[in-house]
Amino acid sequence: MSSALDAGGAERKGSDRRTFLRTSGGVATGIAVTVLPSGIVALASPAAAAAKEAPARLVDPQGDVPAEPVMAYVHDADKGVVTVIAGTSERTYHDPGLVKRLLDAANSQRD
Amino acid sequence: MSSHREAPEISQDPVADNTDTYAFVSPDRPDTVTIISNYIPLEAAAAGPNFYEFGEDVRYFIYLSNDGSGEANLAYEFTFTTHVLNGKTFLYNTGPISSISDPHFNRRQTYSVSLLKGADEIAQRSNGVNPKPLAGKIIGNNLACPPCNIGPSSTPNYPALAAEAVHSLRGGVKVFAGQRNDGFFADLGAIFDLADLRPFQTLHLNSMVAAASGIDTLKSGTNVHTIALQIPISEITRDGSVPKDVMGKHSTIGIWAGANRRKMKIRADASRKGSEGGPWVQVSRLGNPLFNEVLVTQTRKDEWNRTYPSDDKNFADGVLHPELSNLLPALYPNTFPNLAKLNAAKTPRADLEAILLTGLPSGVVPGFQNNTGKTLGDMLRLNVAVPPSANPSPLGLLGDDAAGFPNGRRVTDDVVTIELRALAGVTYALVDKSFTPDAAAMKVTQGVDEPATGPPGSGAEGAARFLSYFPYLGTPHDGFDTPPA
Repeated sequence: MSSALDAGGAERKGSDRRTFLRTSGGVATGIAVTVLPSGIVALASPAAAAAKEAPARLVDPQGDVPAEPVMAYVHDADKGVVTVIAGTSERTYHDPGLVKRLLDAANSQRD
Repeated sequence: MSSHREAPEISQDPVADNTDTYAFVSPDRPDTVTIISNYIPLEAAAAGPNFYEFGEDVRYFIYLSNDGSGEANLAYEFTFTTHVLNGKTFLYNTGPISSISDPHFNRRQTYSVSLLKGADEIAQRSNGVNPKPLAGKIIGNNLACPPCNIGPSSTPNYPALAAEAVHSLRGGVKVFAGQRNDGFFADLGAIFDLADLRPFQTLHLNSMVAAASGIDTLKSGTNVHTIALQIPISEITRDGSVPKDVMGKHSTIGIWAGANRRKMKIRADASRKGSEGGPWVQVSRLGNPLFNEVLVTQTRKDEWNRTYPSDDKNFADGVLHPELSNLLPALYPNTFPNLAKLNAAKTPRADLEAILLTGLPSGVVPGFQNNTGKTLGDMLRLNVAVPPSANPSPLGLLGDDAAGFPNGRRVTDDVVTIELRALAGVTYALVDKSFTPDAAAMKVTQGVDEPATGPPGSGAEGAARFLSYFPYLGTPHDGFDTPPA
């Protein structure tokens, strides 16, 4: 299991975390924990790119929580460190942008 | 208890809580080793309508290390699936269960067994870092568990049901997974009441009661769920041999068990089902009895369960300077003067380190060794070249019976008394000939006699705690008759 911090926010294959919250509909559970259908991290497509400027909006999730959900939690908000769990892998990234989006969503639930 | 509810986190997760691990050369098949790992502590017999079962969301492992590295290089993995034949009834069984394929056996479990070889394969399944399929590793599939022992109306011939659930796999391997009588015998009430050991209460600093015999806490009706394997010795030794030389380099196998869960869980709510994800992480492990229970501090017990034997140098201080050894002279004033001096000198307990973390090297006990090298690790160490004893002593090596604990562990070994005596200083004399153990140290017991082993094949084994044949743990208490009127 790798829990190494990727210094400098280096991207890793298959993990476009910047699209993570944007495509999530801003639905977070608890503080800064977001649950997404499996495969969402791979949405580095033109459609995803077009969607990335869209603001987060609340939606009602349909159906069950998917098997092998992709999950992310903010490991260290001040340092912009976020851990993404997908399938049986767990990796931790330095990604202040993704952390900010997650925290924004979390904070919006406190309003 | 040996490892029943021994750490805060796992005490909240019974189906993954490993209570005891045993490993011994099978007395009735001496070319094989039997390994038993028990789960679900303190099962009540009358547990309907939802009787106990293994966790579908748990991976259960039996680990072996045969190369002296302290790392597992063989592992057997068990995964369970639950089946409900009739979902329109609340009943566990809809009539008497006369066989494990009986349609009245409504809620049932099957399991698969995989044999993993090498550190990479084991890591793939125990940590889940690489979800590569394990094609070709499954050695048994769709194997039936017996039902729990419900009572004479539902499970009228329980020994026959259990016998049906002993499966033979290729290569001479036998396997069983299901409910059994908990073989762990100890006076738990006394032990955890500030070690006010019966029958020595009159010597205790703070005892409030008169001397009396020990009480076998689990005697009267608690069961466990057992995973038992019987494996040809040649399958688990490093070179595929069946060692006959006790002093041989490859005669000793390190053995322990563990249980793993997914790291993340999303609980179901009123509108949708839950899910799990993430890597597999270890939540319970067990080698030597009482290790985490007695030698690891409250604040580190959960950490210990998450780590591996090869990391146990981090816990060695609890072995080298055991708290209970320091407490005994205080709790029993003027009873352990030599132990008190040893404690006062802060002498590291090299004897306990050898027994629990490295195995005994040659030259300590004449004609015996079960050393696995320099790596400190809590595991049972079984020298498979020692044949089964014709007259087993429940005191194992302390009773001049090298076929018993700490050479592996048999179901009948009185591990509590053995470890109490070791902690009281008896075994320190093995490494320091100038040390004289206190007279009391040789007399310390937990006050509970070894339970009986049932007569083989007589059908009378129902009430016995132990069997003389696989899976060696007795018929579980049934719910109708437990507790007795």
